[in-house]
Amino acid sequence: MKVLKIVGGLLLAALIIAQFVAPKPPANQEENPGDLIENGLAEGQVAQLLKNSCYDCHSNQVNYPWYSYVAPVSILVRHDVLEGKEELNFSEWQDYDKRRKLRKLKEVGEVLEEDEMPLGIYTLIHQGAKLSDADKESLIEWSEDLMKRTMAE
Amino acid sequence: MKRFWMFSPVLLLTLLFLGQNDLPTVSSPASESGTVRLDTIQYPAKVKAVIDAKCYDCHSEKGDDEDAKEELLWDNLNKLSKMDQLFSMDAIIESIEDGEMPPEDHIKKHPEAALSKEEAKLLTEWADAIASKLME
Ligand code: HEC
Ligand code: HEC
Repeated sequence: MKVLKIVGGLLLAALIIAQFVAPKPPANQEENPGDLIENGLAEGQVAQLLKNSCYDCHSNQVNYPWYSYVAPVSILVRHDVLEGKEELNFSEWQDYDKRRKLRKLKEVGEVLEEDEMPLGIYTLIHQGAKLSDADKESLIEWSEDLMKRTMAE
Repeated sequence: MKRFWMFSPVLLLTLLFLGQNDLPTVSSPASESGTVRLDTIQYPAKVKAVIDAKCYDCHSEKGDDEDAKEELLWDNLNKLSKMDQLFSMDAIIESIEDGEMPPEDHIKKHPEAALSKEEAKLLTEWADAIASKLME
């Protein structure tokens, strides 16, 4: 019993210390002039789907729930948002040159077709971010259409 | 030993024959649609030296990481569609600019495997020039 108390106490102490020392998820940015949706490149239902299912890791406007600031969840969220934004940041879309836009759009199609995104660990908690087959189809169609428009630029 | 030398002309001929058979596919790559395309992707000696030293082992048939081979095979580049060539060039540029290639854990074990600043610049400028040509 005594051992259990000591171990429990140590764990609790570690958890409390972690709240102070663990790095927090990256901060949001208010102004994003290069944002995909702001620039009218995705509209209506597609814009809604992107905001709802992708922007929490691929934009500067992440919807952070309170627990995403609590370690150890914060460590996981930080990792996913940093990695996600490095691969693809819809808030900085217009900073990509033409060839990168085309490639990112192709990858969007691929991850949707292969059910790789949104990340499973995320939809586990955010059930509402799960994409139906129809959702996936409209996103894929949108990505193909934007590829054509980008190519013609 | 004597026997071996007797066979050596046969061996030589066989090698020559195999070599001949290889030639057409190397010199006139036909795309899948049947149209012959000029090889858009050329490697100046300096670029080739860097690729051979720092990238080729993982991104060629002799590599043993399936992910690496799936993402990029240098020997296949000229067989890809124009669009896929463009994507490959862009991926090469991004992976070098973001410091993702060669992989970090590989460099930890073999510090000499890292790209120098000049080598990184050489490769990205080369890929950028090809990408621009592909988009014309
Ligand atoms: C919970 C965070 C999270 C969400 C939500 C999310 N992603 Fe990702 N995404 C990541 C991470 C992390 C990576 C980089 C690592 C990887 O490829 O697994 C990534 C990588 C990508 C890539 C690059 C893949 C490649 O081929 O290299 C694309 C494209 C992408 N995501 C698209 C999307 C789309 C589209 C959505 C919405 C339908 C989405 N993601 C939702 C975290 C997320
Ligand atoms: C030790 C093996 C190794 C070496 C050396 C290496 N790579 Fe890679 N490369 C990989 C692996 C494994 C992947 C797939 C997994 C990943 O993306 O991290 C990959 C993926 C890539 C990709 C696809 C990235 C993407 O996500 O689109 C590119 C492009 C690439 N490598 C270029 C290079 C270049 C250029 C060099 C030389 C400067 C190089 N690699 C050297 C192992 C290697």
